[in-house]
Amino acid sequence: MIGLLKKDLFVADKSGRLLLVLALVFSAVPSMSTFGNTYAMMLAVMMPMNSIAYDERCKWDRYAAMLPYRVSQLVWSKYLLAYLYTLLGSGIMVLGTLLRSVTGGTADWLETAQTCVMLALVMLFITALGLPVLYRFGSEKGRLAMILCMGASVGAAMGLLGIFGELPEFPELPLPVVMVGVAVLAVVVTGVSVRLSVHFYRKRQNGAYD
Amino acid sequence: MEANAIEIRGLTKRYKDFALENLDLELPYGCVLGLVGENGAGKSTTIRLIMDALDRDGGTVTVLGADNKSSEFLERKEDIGVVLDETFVPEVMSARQLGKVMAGTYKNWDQGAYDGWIKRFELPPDKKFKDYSRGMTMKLGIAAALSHRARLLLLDEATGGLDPMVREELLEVFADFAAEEGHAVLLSSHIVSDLERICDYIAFLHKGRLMLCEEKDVLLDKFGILKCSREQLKNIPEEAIHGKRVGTYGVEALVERAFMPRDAVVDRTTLEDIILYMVKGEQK
Repeated sequence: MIGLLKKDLFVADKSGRLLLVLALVFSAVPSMSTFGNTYAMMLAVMMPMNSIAYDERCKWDRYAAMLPYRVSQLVWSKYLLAYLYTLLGSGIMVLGTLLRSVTGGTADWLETAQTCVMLALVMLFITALGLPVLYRFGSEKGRLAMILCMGASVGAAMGLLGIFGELPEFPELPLPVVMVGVAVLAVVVTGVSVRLSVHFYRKRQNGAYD
Repeated sequence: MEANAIEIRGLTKRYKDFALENLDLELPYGCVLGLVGENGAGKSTTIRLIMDALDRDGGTVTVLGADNKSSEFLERKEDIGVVLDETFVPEVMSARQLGKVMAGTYKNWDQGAYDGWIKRFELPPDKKFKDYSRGMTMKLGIAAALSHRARLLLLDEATGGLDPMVREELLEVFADFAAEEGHAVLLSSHIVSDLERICDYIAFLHKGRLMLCEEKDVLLDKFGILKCSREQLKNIPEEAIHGKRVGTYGVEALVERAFMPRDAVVDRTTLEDIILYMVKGEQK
């Protein structure tokens, strides 16, 4: 699996580094730090997406099928790529906060840590929801399908808010409990997501979506 | 050790507009098997099925002693070098980077051997693939396939589109590989002259069906070309004629020597003739 990750990193090489540097610059500027932090985390979704698009373009999957990898490993490598960029995004958020504090700005380390974990969990969910869609519809239609799914989710939420007027009240739980709960949910959703991705990958390999 | 590097029995794969039907094939160790056929005959499908990159609809495939549907086959893939008709490696990568990817892929990766092949093929290690010629790309694929101590090489149109000098060089490499103990090569191509030069066995696929599979020398002894008039052809037993071309001045027919009258003059044929007569010649 290390070989697959290396391949994806070599492909991302220059553009990946450039995007990370941009995210760091945004994150370090006090007035843009929120955007920078979100942008840094969004790379975790963008990079696997780009990698799948690149694989499709050069038909890498045909070659990968000849290598000593299970289909599950080929699929997992994209999830790992997303997690790697989530880690890098978290690193950028920490580095951005450090730069802001060094350059005389205010730095709330607790808030940074909480935002880091929250955004990382959000990325886990988006990765888990997005990758099966990409494997099912391909990178081009898959991106569109993902945007439509997200749009539909936001639309549905707005619609429900319009109907009920306000959010239902949830029992107040300590933040660590909420985070552990969300993390467990993320693991379950990822498990289902990987199974779906493997299923779609196999079908695609057999020409079911051609 | 088992006798054959590849054993295929009744292999079937059906698509909407194409079917590979009931394929039986064997590749003994120490041999080169040429898989020949026109574009779309099923050569690439066969190679993908051998590597379990496609789900089959029927039959069995055993490679290096392991059923390719068994968990053991993943280990066997370590011993199989594959070169496809294109390299399928991202064009922004270089030969050096591909080496690093393969080092993380194959347990038996031999970086020294890879560097040796890169040097021998005169490939620039840091040049991006997008700037490679087709010959260079194919050489790179071959370098990767030969650098993890493979015992079996599967080559899908690996010599297609290359100039004669490069083809000659690569055919030598394949022949040398097959000559080593416990090695075997399956070479698919529609360049019959390449196959004729290095293959021990020839399998001919046509529209998804195996038309013949024979030792090359047996095949060349078995068939011959008969040049005669239309009237003379009528006296030849029907079972001897496998294809014919009728011209203004006479007939040329691909005949099976075993069924020919003793006094008939039959010229030596080539593999290319055998295949062309079988496919394009007027069938008997």
